Amino acid sequence: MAIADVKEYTHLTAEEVEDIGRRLDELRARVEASRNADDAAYIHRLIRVQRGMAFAGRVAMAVGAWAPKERTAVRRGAVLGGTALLGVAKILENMEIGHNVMHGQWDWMNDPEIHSSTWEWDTAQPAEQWKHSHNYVHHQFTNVLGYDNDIGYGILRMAREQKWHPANLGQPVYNALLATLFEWGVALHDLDIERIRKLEKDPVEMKRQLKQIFRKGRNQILKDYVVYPALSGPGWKQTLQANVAANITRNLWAYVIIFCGHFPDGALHFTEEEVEDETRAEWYLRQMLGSANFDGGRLLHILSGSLGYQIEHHVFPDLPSNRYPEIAVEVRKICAEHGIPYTTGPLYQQYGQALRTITLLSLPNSWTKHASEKYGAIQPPTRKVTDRGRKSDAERPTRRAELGGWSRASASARA
Amino acid sequence: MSVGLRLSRLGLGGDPGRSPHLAAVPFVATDPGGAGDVAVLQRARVVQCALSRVCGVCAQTLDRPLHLLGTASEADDNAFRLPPVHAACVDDLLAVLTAAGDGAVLGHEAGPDRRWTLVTTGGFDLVRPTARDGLHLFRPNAVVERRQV
Repeated sequence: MAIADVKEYTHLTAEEVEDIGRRLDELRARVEASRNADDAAYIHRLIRVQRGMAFAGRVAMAVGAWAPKERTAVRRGAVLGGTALLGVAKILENMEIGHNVMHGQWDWMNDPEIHSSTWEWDTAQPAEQWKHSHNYVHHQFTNVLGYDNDIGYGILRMAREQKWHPANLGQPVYNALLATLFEWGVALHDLDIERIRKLEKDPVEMKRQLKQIFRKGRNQILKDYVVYPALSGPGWKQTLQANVAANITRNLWAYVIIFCGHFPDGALHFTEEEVEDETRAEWYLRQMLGSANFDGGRLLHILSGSLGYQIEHHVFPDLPSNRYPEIAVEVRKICAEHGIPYTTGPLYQQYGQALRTITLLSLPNSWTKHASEKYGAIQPPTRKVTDRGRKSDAERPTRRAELGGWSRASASARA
Repeated sequence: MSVGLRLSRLGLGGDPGRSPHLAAVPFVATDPGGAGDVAVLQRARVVQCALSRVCGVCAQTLDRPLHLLGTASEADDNAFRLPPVHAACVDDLLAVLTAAGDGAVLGHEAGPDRRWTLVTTGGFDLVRPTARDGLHLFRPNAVVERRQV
């Protein structure tokens, strides 16, 4: 449905919507004006800690690998410690550092290394493709069905409006595979599997992207599964196992955090036909209504790439992540004052709800009618829709299938 | 290498029949089919350039520093209409802008303000429009240099 039809929003007058926009603009301006050396120190410190952990993890693994065989405790302890350190380092690098740097959150520092244009992260997906599939497609078309590929990553049915297919019965299995191999699922994300399946993907663009993915994936495999094990000499096998474990740990953690961002109860999906003519205030509202936070301490938030503040991240994706806690106070206040849902809860609850949605939607809608209202069904507005001069579904033109085509020009343009 | 050749190599060449000024148009003026008119900025492309961090001319990943080209008034207001471009793409973009003379070009209405100014910056803040038909604006936030071009 269009944002104009969302019942969580329909009670607002045009003036109230503009007031929300104005207050969020003021908040943004305040944070922009106050970016300072303390913020820069935060990201520099975090990168030092992350690199220290990665180095210590590699050293510990080497110690375990080269230790005499009779020193079983030393070998095991070193490898286990090394695995844990490397796993956490990868989590920090991908989430609080890489993801946020590539959003341009730290570009204002004009640092030659910590910059959205130059950062390449420790995962299989090329940064360039991430900046398209995530920064642009996901953040611009957040939770808009048919546009946002993060809704089920092209393999999971995550909304009741998506047509059920018998293949969806396997969703719990696909989900487990996606979680375990998340790095590789993300690597293929910008290819837009659905368009490939429908033979709509431009073959030239697909080939270009596949080459990029192959090169990046090959380098990741060489680093973690060939070079470091080879450096471990007689202990190559346990170093290999440790690297596999560290990568899977990162995969599972990143998957859980990302699925908590838009799929817990309360985070809405949209089938809006036209999002280009949104005002800034309406864009803010769609981001707020389509996202979900989770509660936790500072350490949990840092390890989650600050995506426990998913609402704030979607409203201000390019403001420094260390400022989200202070931003959240104000955003929550604005939501409360205007009667807008601010979806949050403990991490286990938010992920549990996402998992329940995945499981329920593996079945046809007719089998889960009892759960339809609570688990993702779009309900008609309960109050009269205020006319703000914005088109609703019935007034909108036929949907344009633009997701894959927006990365580059279409095949026809190349011909 | 000219903008036309580079866009052609990328499969992003514009439809020459639609542009009175050039045989090719910068990425930011192309429609999803790859055609376009240099008089008009494509809103969707502006957003794509801003969020994907790609060049407004060649659609390739930006490097550092970023280059914002606009009128002197835009530079004074610290609010540019065109997304950032590569250093190597500045001349191509300038060629498109100057070729239009006083006519409408890339989101700039026809008029006398044609003192094109280049600002080099580490980063920018994207300002979304408050009105439905408003412009997205690019606000440089780590200015290194400003010069008339």
